[in-house]
Amino acid sequence: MKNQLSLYLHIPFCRHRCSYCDFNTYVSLQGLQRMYAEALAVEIEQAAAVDAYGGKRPLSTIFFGGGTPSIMTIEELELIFTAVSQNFTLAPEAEVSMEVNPGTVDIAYLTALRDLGVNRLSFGVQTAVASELALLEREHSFADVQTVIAQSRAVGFDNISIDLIYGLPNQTLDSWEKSLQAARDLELEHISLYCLTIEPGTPMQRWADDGQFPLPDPDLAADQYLLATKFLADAGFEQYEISNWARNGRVCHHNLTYWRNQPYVGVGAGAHGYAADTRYHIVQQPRVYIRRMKADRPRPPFPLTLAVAGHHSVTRAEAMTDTIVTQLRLLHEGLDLPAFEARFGQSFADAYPQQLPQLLEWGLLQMDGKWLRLTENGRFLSNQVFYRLM
Amino acid sequence: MNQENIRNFCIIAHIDHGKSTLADRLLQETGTVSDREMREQLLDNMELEREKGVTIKASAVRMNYTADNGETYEMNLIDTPGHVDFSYEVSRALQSCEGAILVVDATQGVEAQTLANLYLAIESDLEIIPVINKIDLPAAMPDDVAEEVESVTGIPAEDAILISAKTGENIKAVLESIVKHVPPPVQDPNAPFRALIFDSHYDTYKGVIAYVRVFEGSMRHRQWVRMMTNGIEVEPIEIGTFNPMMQKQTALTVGEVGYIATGLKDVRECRVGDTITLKDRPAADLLPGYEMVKPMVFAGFYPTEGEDYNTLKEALERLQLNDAALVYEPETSTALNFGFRCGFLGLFHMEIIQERLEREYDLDLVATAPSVRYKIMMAHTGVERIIESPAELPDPGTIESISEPWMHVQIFTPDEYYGVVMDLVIKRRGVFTGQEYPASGRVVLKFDLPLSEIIIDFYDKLKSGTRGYASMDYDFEGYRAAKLVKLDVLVAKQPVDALAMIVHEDDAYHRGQRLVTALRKLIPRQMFEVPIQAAVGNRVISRANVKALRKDVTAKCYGGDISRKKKLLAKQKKGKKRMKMIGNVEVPQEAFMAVLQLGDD
Ligand SMILES: Nc1nc2c(ncn2[C@@H]2O[C@H](COP(=O)(O)OP(=O)(O)O)[C@@H](O)[C@H]2O)c(=O)[nH]1
Ligand code: SF4
Repeated sequence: MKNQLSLYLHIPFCRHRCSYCDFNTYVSLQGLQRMYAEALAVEIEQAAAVDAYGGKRPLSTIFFGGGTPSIMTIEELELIFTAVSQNFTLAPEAEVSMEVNPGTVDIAYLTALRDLGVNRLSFGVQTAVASELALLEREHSFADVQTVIAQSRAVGFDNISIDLIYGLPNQTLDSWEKSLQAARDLELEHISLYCLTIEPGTPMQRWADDGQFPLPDPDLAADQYLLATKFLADAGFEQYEISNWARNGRVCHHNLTYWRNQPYVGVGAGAHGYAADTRYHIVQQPRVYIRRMKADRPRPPFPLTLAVAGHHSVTRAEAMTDTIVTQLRLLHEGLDLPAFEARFGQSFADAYPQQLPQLLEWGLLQMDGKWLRLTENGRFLSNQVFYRLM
Repeated sequence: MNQENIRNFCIIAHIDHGKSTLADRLLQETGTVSDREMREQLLDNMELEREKGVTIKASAVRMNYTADNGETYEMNLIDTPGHVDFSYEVSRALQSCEGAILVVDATQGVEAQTLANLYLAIESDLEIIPVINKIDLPAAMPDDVAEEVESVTGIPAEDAILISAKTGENIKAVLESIVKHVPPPVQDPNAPFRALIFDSHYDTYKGVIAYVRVFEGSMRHRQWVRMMTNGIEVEPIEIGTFNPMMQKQTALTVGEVGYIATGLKDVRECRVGDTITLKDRPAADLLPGYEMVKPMVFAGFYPTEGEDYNTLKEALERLQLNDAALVYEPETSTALNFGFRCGFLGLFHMEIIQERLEREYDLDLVATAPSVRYKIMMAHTGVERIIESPAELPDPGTIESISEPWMHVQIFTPDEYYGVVMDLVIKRRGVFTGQEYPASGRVVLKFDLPLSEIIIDFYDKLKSGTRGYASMDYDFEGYRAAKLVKLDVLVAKQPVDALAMIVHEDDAYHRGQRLVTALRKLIPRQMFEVPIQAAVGNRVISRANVKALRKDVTAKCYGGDISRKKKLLAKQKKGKKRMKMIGNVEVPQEAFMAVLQLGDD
């Protein structure tokens, strides 16, 4: 796992902006898609810079996120995949995930994805309840979800995940359980559950400010989380991360890279990356991004590209924080205490002499041999743990 | 200057009625300041004053004016503070004048504040010159306002001078009227030197600079002076007048207004209100009206960061140099650690000090709810104790009686708000004492009211209840005994000294309930349930729980972007740092001021 490297590609286009969304995505720039794909191909080449031995770097996972990656045409995706395979090596068993919005693809498209090498699909489902889909301004029905998953199975995808959201305005324990049941009946490998955050600047926030609905009750969200934990366990899912459940060990290896605080290269507008002890982010605006990729200037050293908007070397203190806020999210592994001490020259207990005993006493953390982990209670209060350890 | 040709006057006005603008015009009209030099609002030379729109410290300026009769006059304008907290300083300033210009906004009419200062001026036998300002405005009603002025001063409406300080219209008429109506100072030029200190400021090089009005005799520079109350003697570094900047002179003579740079390092050695005389030929008596400045309102100031304690201490020392009315002493609180109990003339004074500490010294402060000075009669010993903080209240069993300061309050309001004002005052234990109708549609309501009821949220309630129209003034009446009890607040079973209050027995239950409700909203949920209780003695009168926190997670870190999540966590951590720990409970600073937001119902 030493040479593990992951690649994240960001596709910043959507047909319509969902009411809760503050991601880096644009609804009126689809005319740029082709140029964007070309720019992405250039950036992939820049980001790939051969390693010290003159070899291509091997990738263990690839993740297409957005926005809506499935908005790209197959030709555009081909351009991108070609650039990836020309500049990196890809292990045969490498995980290649793509986010797909239900209602945007057909059998032919799914087949083509399969042929390009995509082997894991992640669908933005959010909820099975029609009124909740309407509130979120999702452009699909739950029937679309059932259809697209059946089609995906038919063309041979055997690793499928969906996202669901709880903590929604007016969502009850009952309606949440309906979504969970519907999700279980899809017989998936993987499920991610996210608690809604009402982000500033979104329509959702304006509606909340206008008093169009009562603010979601955090205690209800906690109950929904508990319900989900139990429900999914009964359905044969194992919770391996605060928000992620997998069946039969089909965890998301790409996301594990983040949570193990391992390096990944990020390309595309607004992407973030972390490699060679450097954290960086790419310009957000697709137009600016495309222009940057057309510039004829020498490329900066790995992992930076001409589209990088900002970067910094990770300090020791930052690396400690990063290790904590990522590794503690993994419920089975957790934080590797001996590795922490080896890396930072200080034991965890010495680094946090007051905080650690307090968090253990409150039952938010537990120690298990060489591992430090969140307790069941600590999962839903993880920020309380994290900020105290910063 | 011939004593006959000296005129000492001040300007009385409600905030925003145009005092500063008029002062500027007078300086220009007399050529004291050229148009080019004219800084806006020259007399208000503290930034804070300008923002608050009030004059905090009185100061003075000398102008030379050649009148229509061909003679040249020395006109000394003495500035007066415009806020009720400073009425003590106002009376000092008034005593240095023979005349007062009463400025009233032609669109607003007379306000309570103006009225209070006006009565002080009339009591000090000043000649009043009514001036109606802002006649350039379309909404101006100069005739109605002049009538109102007549009804409060008895000066015929037709004698009021109608001006626009903005356009400069009729400014000369104001100067002529001063020459004609304000009498020259009539004191004895040959008596021993006596000068009243009506203001002071601290200068790093020249020490405390006393602003004085010479009532009798004269002095030359290099002559040793003596502060009459404490006997301190010094050779002044410099003496002079304000033209309008400080200008060195070789002598100060009777009737004049000027300054004496004492070289003293502590304002307490050279108090406003004291009399300065000469060491070699001392006067026998103080000028009338010397009074110690008495702080009326007390609050604890604590640095948010413990390490700022020394900065706070130094800042208070520095502020006190310029502000003898500010007092402070170290105080320790179990909830807030080390800080200072500070005394102020009033709430407004407190606000100004807090703002200056925060702005000029970059301090982050927690201020406890303000309190007053109580007198405690001890049961067996018969000894009287004075406390300035609820935390100091002795065990009730040992107390014979508690008394608290009461104020005479005047509220000036359009009469449609009569009922609103009455309600508010009665709820606050007020006693109605009388009313007057100085003009049609306007009423002055008079009450006696405990000061403790005024300093908690009274002014804001008055303003909001009367849509901003009412104004108020108060002065000290005396101490009255009352059935007062200490209301303790317990957070997670621990009494929090900084939250304790002294309240009337009959109000304890209500106040306790509201305080607990307010605190429950202000204290964020913790890792465990936190009971909040209000108690009198051992009796818990109200209780509520802050439920344990159950949810604190962030949604996904998109595309591995943990920077955003870290930013949020850093913010959370910073927020926590600003909290005060009571045992294991994190309490935000606003909680200590919660009592100010309780409301009346
Ligand atoms: N229209 C008009 N505005 C005036 C006049 N005199 C003062 N003002 C304005 O009224 C406001 C308050 O004046 P200022 O002199 O600062 O009042 P102070 O608080 O009494 O010193 C300022 O905005 C002035 O510009 C006037 O004669 N006419
Ligand atoms: S599909 Fe996803 S990225 Fe696009 S608007 Fe909706 S939530 Fe945002």
